[in-house]
Amino acid sequence: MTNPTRIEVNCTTGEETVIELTAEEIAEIEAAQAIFAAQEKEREAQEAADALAKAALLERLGITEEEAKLLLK
Amino acid sequence: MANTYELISSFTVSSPSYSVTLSSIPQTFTDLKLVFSTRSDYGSAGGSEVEIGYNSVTSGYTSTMIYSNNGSSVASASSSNPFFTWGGGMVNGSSTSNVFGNSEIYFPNYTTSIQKSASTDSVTENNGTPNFMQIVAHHNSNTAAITSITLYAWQSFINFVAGSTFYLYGIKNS
Repeated sequence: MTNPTRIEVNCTTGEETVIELTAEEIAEIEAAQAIFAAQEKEREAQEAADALAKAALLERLGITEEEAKLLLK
Repeated sequence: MANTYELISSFTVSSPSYSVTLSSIPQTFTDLKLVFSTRSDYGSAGGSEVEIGYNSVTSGYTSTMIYSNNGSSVASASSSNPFFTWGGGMVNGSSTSNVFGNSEIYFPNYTTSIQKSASTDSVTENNGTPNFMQIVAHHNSNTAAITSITLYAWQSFINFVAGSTFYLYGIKNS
């Protein structure tokens, strides 16, 4: 199976080159993707927690989300 | 409008590829503007991130993003990744056919020996949800002039599909 490819465009000469990624480049990119994936997971967990907290607060206040938006206008 | 707003390079993807590097960028302008429309072959609807890096720098990227992905609420996120940062949104392969994500990134003072900042605004297209709008502020602590910019299709080596376009403009006030 061939590796993913990258394209290099020389802005001075206009030359376009298709290059197969090396194993080292793949490993580097995978490491970066893992970092982003972990940050994304954290963000999603925070969003879920915020949604739960918001729902609980609205229930405690006895108002709907639309009513809450009205208050904030 | 700037006195000089010149197309440096334009490229259209003809075969799917994971990344596109614009290299040997002339150092004769003040600012750069990168405009790109991209679609991936990722098998889901909605959008994915285009990641961006400069000069093969592999440290010091931070970014803050304000985004909306459901048309009714706004959220924010921040990232610090050694290899690249958020560049903009691209449309995934299972979204509405023949639509692309559209992004612009502005690089001020790209030839100077100061830490680099940039800003992105981006939207994806899809006749449905999810969809994304983003504004991103970027920073990299590297002080070298920007001579190359690389854009990566995120998520485990998905590819930019044919028809994805990249336009790099040079801007100066003379």
